[in-house]
Amino acid sequence: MTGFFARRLLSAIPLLLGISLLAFLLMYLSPGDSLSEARASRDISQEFIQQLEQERGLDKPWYVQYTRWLKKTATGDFGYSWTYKTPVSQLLGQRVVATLCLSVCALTLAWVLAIPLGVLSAIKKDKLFDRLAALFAYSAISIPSFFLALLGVFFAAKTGWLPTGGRTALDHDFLPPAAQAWDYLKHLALPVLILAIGSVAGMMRVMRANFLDDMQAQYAITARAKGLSYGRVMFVHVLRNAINPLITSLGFALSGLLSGSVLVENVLNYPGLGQLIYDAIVRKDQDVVLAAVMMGCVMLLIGNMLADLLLAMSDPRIRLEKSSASLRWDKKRFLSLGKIAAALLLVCGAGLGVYHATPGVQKIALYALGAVVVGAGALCVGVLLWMIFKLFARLWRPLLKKPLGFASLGVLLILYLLALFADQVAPYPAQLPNLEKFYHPPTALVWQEGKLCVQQYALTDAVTASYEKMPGQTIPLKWFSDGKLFSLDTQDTQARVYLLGADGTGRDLFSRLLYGARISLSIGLVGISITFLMGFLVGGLAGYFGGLTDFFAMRGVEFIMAIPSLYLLLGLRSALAPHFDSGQMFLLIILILSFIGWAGTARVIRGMALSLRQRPYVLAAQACGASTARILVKHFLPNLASYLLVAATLSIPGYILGEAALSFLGLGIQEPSASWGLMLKDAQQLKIFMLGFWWMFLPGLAIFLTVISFNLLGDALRDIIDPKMKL
Amino acid sequence: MNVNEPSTALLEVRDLRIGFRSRMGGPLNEVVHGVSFSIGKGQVLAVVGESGSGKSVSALSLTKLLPSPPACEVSGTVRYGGRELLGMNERALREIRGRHIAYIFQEPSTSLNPVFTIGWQIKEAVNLHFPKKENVRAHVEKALADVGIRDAARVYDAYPHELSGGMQQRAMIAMALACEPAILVADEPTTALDVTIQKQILDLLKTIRREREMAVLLITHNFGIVADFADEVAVMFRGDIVERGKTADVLKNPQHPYTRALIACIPMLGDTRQRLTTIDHAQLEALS
Repeated sequence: MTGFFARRLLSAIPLLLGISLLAFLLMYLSPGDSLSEARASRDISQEFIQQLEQERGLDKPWYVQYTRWLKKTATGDFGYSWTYKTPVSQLLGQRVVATLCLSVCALTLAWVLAIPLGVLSAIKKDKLFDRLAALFAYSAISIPSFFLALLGVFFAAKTGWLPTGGRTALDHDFLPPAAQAWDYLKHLALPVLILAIGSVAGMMRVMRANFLDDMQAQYAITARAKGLSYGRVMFVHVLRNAINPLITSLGFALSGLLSGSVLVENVLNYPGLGQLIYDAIVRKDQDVVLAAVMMGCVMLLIGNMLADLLLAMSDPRIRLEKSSASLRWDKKRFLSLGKIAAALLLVCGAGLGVYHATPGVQKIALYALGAVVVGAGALCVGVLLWMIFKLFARLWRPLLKKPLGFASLGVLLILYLLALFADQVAPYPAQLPNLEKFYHPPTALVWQEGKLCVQQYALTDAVTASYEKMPGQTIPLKWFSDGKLFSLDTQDTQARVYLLGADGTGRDLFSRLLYGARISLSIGLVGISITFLMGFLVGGLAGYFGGLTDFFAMRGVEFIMAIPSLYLLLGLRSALAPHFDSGQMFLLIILILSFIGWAGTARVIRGMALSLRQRPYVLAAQACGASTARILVKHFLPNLASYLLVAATLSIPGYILGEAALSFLGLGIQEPSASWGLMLKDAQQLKIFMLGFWWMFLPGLAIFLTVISFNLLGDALRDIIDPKMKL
Repeated sequence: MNVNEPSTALLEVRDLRIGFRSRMGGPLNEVVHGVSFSIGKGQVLAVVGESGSGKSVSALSLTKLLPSPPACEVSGTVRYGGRELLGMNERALREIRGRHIAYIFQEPSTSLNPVFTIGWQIKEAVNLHFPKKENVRAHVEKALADVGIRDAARVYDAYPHELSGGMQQRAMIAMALACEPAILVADEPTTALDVTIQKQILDLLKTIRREREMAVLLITHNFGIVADFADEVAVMFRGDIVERGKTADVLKNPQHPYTRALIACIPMLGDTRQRLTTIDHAQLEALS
């Protein structure tokens, strides 16, 4: 047992070193440092800043700074937070406890809910309970966590039952111990519930699938043949087996919670690790970022180790001592290793060269990179569309028989059409404000004199932004004029039709939703194309060649998967963003999301390629002298196509949610452009909660609708292609 | 052709029909069409037939181990010791299962629950049927020793994956015999084992049956193991029993063409034929 822990911890050291180096480089590459603010203010003298620079070692090159940091950390000194003016260890101490509290409570609650729900819906398969549970699961998977958190805060603000944020009440320190504990619990309730709902759905579906499989197992019949009662067979024999895969997923669940908690902590103003990392990245508080990312990774590693330990306890077939196959080293291996290292160095060197080059060269390099990205993206989308077309030619008939799948396909088609024709359907441009009509409620439509007319409103109280109908004052709509589907038939340029209300500067929410749809709906498609092409190339080649290629590809994949994805997203975003203007931000977001997303796909495809490689028809093709490229395209791709289609449909939501999350944190699409996540950010104001401007939450609903449609469509496609597919 | 007097039979099955539905509200697909047979005390009846002929489902249906309606419909009568099993409620049936009619299955590695120890799984059955028994561990270890497991104390604490296939099947048999049932239903007990282990398991079953005077319903597709074990043979073909009688008679003088075809399929030592015999189903169908 101790040997197992020692080995695991030792093997984690290179991973931690790599992650710290990556975090450090990202921090270094992003412009500005912790002194940027001080430099900008005039009353701090130049000498003082230089003195600070020397103190913090900012005048040294990056490798000197990094080794200095490493040396300090190795001695247990995590450094000093320049924004909070406290030692990092002290800061982390409080935050880690808060986040652990949150994650562990949420995970426990998720398990407590997911296991009985999954078991019951397996036992009552296809009955009403199962259907309702599935409905809940689909909804819970499809709702963005920050939107749920917003709704939670809205609910808490309206009812006053729970605090709307923070970790303690203002008068916490003056309360007796029992009341203090109660205060903690009350503040934990909302974030725990929101995080748990997010993960309960996935676990429940896994539990249900496992339980259904194990119910059919031969040992269940043996147990019944012994004379055991149905309950004992199900809850002792089957449950003990069905729970094991769930235990395996514990590590990933913890990682997901750590990532997801950034958003929930942000909305609920909960002082946890995620919030700290986010703030520190934004403020360039170097020591805090490094220490907190390390902390997050260590927590993740411990979670994985705990999962392995629990699994070994629960499943006697698993042995902890099992070590992975070791690699034999010979001359050939060293040569190819050298090649890989040289290629990596070349890429890094080119990157650094561009970074230090003149602006002109930088611009050329950026445009070249952009051209490559756009070209690759276009190629990927082309390949994907071609595959989708080929598959749908085969699949549309069975899809007609699945009402839910067909309906979600219909919803998606309508959404895509609306986004495509946003210029025509939207009555106003996305950026057109009307400062007299801030937070205008949705306008009522009335039927008058054979025409559809729009009710007019008057502002009655500017403080609470309340509007009243002006009786008898309506403006008729005119259809199909000036290239618009509909517009107001009036000369008054200040009159507006707000189908879904207006935001704080009087912009039409309906129009903004349509323009925002362009971003949300395309980001998934483009992102998934890049991800899958990369995943297919890396995973396919790794599985096909095996050996050293496989070894390095998989270590790379594990490296990317080991970093909590939202931290990586934040880091990459802040390192790269200043080099791009807001128009290129869209491309950048796709690039970052794909960079994080391809790893999981590559791993799955590698597994499939490994098994495909053994198939006789692949051997036959090799025997005929077919080239690697030909085997990959002609033999692997068609066999993986249906899997890829289902996986793609089911992973598009990840991109939509990722963009929404970034924009929601203010790091994605920037004002005045419209994006659903960005629009939800506007809704994060106490004023909106208090005054009940419900229409500000509609972007969340739009995300929810899109994501649930993709999920339902993906499941329907999977049922058609292969009901036993594990996804 | 019925050798047993109905009154002395321990288990009597009349007009057993089994049908499956693959979808809700779908058509009923009958796979066993009115089978009748009986087993006397201490007697061995072998049901022989190829895969898909309905042997295993017939055996499982005796104590209603098949899925419940509407997925699966069972009709007919199964009388054990004068009691009707098919009409019994679940609670009363649980008394029969394991205590009076015990099962061993084809694949020992999947029939034992992988996450519990062998001892725990046998103990569970003993505790269930003899709740007042003291020192259950000793009883279980004796049951394990009775099936030829030498270090019973070690096997008691072993998990199924730590045992070989033959040992797993022995453990399965020990589990079935631990509650001293009157009938043992052995559903292809040797199919998943290699030939030397097959012989050991069959010899074990023979000894146990002789010592305990236990009736055995042996289900197999292999005529070879029937000859020196079963008292009687019933040949099943596509959901019907096509021939029944004393083992020696059936083997020596098979009446039904299917039986003849099955017997012809047994490879013989010293046989000079170049090809293995197969069953010509088209010809059989023309005959029946």
